[in-house]
Amino acid sequence: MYAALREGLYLSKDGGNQWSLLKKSPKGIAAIVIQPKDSSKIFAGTGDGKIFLSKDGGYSWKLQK
Amino acid sequence: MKCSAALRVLSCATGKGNSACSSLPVLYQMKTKGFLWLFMLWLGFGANNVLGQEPNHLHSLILDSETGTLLKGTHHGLYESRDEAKTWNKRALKGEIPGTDFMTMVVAPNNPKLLFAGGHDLAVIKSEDGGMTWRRAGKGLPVMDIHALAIDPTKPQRLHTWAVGHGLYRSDDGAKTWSRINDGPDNSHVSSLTSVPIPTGMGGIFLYAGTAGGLFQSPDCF
Repeated sequence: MYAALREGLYLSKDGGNQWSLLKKSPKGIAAIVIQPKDSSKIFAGTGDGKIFLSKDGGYSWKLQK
Repeated sequence: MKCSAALRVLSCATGKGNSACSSLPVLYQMKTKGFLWLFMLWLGFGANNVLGQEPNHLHSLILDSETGTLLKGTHHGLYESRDEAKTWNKRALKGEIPGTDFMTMVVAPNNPKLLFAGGHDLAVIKSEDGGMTWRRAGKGLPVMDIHALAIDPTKPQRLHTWAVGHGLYRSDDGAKTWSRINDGPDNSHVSSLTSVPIPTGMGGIFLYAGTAGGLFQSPDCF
């Protein structure tokens, strides 16, 4: 379970009871989407229009351009 | 159950109902291989920015799982990318589209070509060809201003939406008609909804709402 706040993306592995910040995640995320066929692949869009891609479930990110 | 203490960890530090708390959460969820994913996405800027018209401003993001095409919803329409978000082109939309603000989009879990969208002046619109052609689908909604949509992964004909200033609405016929359910969560600044396939024990699943005051959960639509 993921949750995005202005400081970054949070991950919960116990159904929402405990959360940890994914420290390398982008800040100011406005929307994200998961590849349904590969749930480790996540796109995150920030409010200013940048799109980041993670291929490891949100632990590392690359700006797409 | 309204909102568990654990989930309130995600609420704004300034507190529920505090006007300084201007972040807007957006919820997403999906289930893959029996694993549930819930996403609450928080716009990291204030109301003035939200109302601004930045050219690249982004509000919603969906993915066609068959083709890999990304769709980005903005205040100025839809943009598509076929190369993992490296390049974008504005999509020329067809059909009956009353506005340009794509604030929220959802994909039917059983059909990646069946999309629903809502926005400031869109009410709810529906596409059956992956977002090329749209038609209105908001009969029964009191306003054109829609900030959140959720689709039930166990019953794809069931959707929930948040009609700004009017409460929570539900459709059981694939967004053709809508009926008011109730006032929604305590914090009326709802900007995201998601249906999560956790059985409530009462024949349904949970609906989550992201608000300026935190994340709310309800087994019976608040």
